This record gives sequence, C-alpha cells and structure tokens, in this order.
Amino acid sequence: MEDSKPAATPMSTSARLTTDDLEDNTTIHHMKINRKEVSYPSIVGSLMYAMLGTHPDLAYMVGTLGRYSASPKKCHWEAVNQ
Amino acid sequence: MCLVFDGSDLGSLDMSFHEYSDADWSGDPGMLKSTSGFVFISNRGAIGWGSKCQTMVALSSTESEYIGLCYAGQHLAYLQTLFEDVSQKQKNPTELLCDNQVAIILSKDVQFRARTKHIQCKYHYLHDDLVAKKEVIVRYVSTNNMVADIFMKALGREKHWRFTHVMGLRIPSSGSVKS
Repeated sequence: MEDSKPAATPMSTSARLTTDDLEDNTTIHHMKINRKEVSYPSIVGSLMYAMLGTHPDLAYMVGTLGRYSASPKKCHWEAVNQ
Repeated sequence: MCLVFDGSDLGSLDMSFHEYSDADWSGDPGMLKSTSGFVFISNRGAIGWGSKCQTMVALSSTESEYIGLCYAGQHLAYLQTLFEDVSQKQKNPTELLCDNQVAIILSKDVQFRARTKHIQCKYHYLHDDLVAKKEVIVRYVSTNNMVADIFMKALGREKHWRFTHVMGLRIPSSGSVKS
C-alpha cells in the first residue's frame, strides 16, 4: 500500500468523520492500491479480519469506518489508508 | 504486532480472567447513541473483546455504562461455559471493572429511582443472572486506567500504547519473528 502513511495510532484524535466530506463530497467506491482495484467495503473487511483475530486495538476504527460503506468519501479513504 | 499470553511471572499459568467495560455516552455527535466496549484479559493477554454501538439511546452516562456492562456480561457467560468445557472452571467470581460508581451500585441492587426506572428489563441481566449468583463482582477502576477506552474513542499516542500493552499486544523482537 504505497499510499498508506505509517502512524502511531490507528486513528487520528483530531479526525471528525461525518457522512459528508465538506471539502470534496464525491463518492469514491473503488481505489487503486498496489495496482489492484479495491472496493471500500473489501478493505474495511480486511481490517475487520485482523481485528477479530489478533488486533483488538483496531476495533473502534473498524466500527467507525464501516458505517460509511454505503457512500465512502475522500476523508474516509484517508482514514482507511492511515 | 501480536498478542502475547505471558503467565511466566505468575508462578504457574492461571486461567482466571478479569474484564474491563466502559461506555461513551453520546460519543458520536452525528448518531446520538453511545458506543460501549469491553475486553477480557487472562494471563496478561486479551481473550475476548468487542466494540459496539448501542441499539438504544441512553438518557445518562450511568445508563449507557449499565447497558455496556450487560453486553460484557453476555460475553462473560459464554467465556465461563467455554472455560468450563476445557476443565478450567472459574473458582472465584470474575472481576468486572467499570469506571462509573452509580452503575456499580445499580448492578448490586436494582433501585427504581426517577432516573433509572425506565431501563429495560433485559439490561438487568447482569444483576439478576451474574451478580446475584456471585459469578461476577463489579469493581471500580479510574478512567485513566480504563483499558476499554480504546474501544470507544481514538486515543492519543501515550494512552493507546499503554492500553495495547495491557491487552498483551507486543511488537515481537526481531529474533523471535519468523517471516
């Protein structure tokens, strides 16, 4: 995942996620990650798999990001890529 | 990062567990409902956890904590059965750690006061089935040491790493990693 940024915590404390992105409100269902077209629910699903098995620290992030599967916006993709 | 279960400094492997439960009253401004989270820890490693948006609107932080305790109680009942099946029946009541004093009092004695009388019957499961039968003791823990906080909000770096450490998540030293 060349777009992902290494971070100290799974989710930024300052991020206020809402259904609408005030800067860019276009819905983005797919994105190219490692030259592969990946859908938003599938990437959240991958995180959920890790969370259920060995990563309890991701639980809150997966729960929050999963809510926006119907119409993911730019800010949600940024949060996923963190 | 991986989960490590370490009973080495306890003398012998102790299969008892304790639990942290917390709820964040109306934490999400867009949703109005509370999020609750719990984690069960045995041998310094997490054995069960959950982060869930509550299905009903709680009128007070006490109510949302009480509902959170009920969710944790359901998971506890499952874990107790599981441990019994593998001949590790819990000898002592399981410690449930909560950071709301009123919710603790309510779990010991269901009082029908003006602000708690509306709580649905099903959420008294914890009191009726677990606390009354002495399978659970609800104890207080300060908010600063409430590990379940990690399931309800995005924490700062210091708290996040402290709590992941308590849950037994460790970054393996390079020698022990097989990739």
